Amino acid sequence: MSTIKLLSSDNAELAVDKEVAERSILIKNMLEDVGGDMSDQAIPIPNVNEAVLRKVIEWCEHHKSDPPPPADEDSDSRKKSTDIEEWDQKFMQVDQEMLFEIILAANYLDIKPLLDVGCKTVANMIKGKSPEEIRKTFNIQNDFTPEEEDQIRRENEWAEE
Amino acid sequence: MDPTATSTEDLLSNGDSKPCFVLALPNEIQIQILAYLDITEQALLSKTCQHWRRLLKTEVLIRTRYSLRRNPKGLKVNYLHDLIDIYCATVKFHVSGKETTETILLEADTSWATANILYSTVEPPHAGHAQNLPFIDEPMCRPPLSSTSKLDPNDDCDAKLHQEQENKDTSDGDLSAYRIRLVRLCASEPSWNVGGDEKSYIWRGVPGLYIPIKGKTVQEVFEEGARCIIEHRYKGENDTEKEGAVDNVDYNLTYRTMIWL
Repeated sequence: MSTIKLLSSDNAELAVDKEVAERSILIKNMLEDVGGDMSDQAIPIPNVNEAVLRKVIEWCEHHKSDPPPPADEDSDSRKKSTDIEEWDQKFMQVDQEMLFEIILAANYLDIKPLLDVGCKTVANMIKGKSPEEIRKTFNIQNDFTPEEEDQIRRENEWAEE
Repeated sequence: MDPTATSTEDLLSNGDSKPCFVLALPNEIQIQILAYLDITEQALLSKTCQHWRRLLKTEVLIRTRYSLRRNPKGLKVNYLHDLIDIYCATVKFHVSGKETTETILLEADTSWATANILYSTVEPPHAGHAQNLPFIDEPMCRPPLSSTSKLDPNDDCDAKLHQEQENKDTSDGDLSAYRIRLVRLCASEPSWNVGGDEKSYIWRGVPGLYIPIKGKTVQEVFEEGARCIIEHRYKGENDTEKEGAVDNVDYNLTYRTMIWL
């Protein structure tokens, strides 16, 4: 099995199986563009630091045998459920900074299934919480004026029983 | 100018010492996150901050509020359209007053039960309260094709309504409509096959009403639905002498979202 090297934004060189790295559509396309031979040269990943890149590679290794995601962007199975498999749930048990770095890296590297898992994780952090609890969870500042708050309260009375 | 635009610096530095990572994500990722939330959760989220309130007004997220989803009990639910169903059923319940029959109550119970499944903590909207619903001023969207009812060529009511619709000006090509179908209990001929001379009763379709969706807000569809139910209720009361109709005839209203293809 061939190995390639990835160069993180903080200049760490990580060796990874080509098959694993190709979970990233960005890397897959890059390798195709250069004819697949990058054995002597590291691929720069300028938007992702070493710690995050290691996490992303860990995820790709675990999911290297998964079937490719459906091409249909609006696929029902993608949109409807926030269920996350157990291994992914544990994988996402990281601090918020790392969680959002993983999401950004998945987006940059074009790894849709990982991006989905990240988005579902955040959605699950929102579910079941009151607006104040959501603000507290994500350090969001309440920037509504008292008049706006009053208006919103009237709008949402039906959802707050 | 993009109404959802807010600088990353503003979002990360929230005046507190702790950074806010979620709002610093690109809007398209935030939209993907918010799309996983149901209408109730989106309503609560719109109370957290200006940025998410603005984001929830984007078309992609409006459409998620019309999408067909599965709830934990496996039932398919269609958010805003179900709200209209519930609203219409409740209006019907109100206008029925003391004449409310078991059928209506059963139907109302079913709708309310649906509401409870949908929004475990939500009281169904009812007449006079619709204006307080979130997203009420948004444009009514065409539902996904998978959640629409198709015409039944064997249904007299469908056939007649289809003809009516075809006779209307349809030059703009958008025939998305919300359908309120009326069904009345009528006496049928005695059924000799079952050996009795007792009258049997069947539900017979009465031409219903269409509320075209295009160009209307959710509130306008609510109001139009309520109005046509009330009008038909009273029209029905004067129509009981019609041949075949049973005394104290009742109307069983069903609601369908339909796209004419």
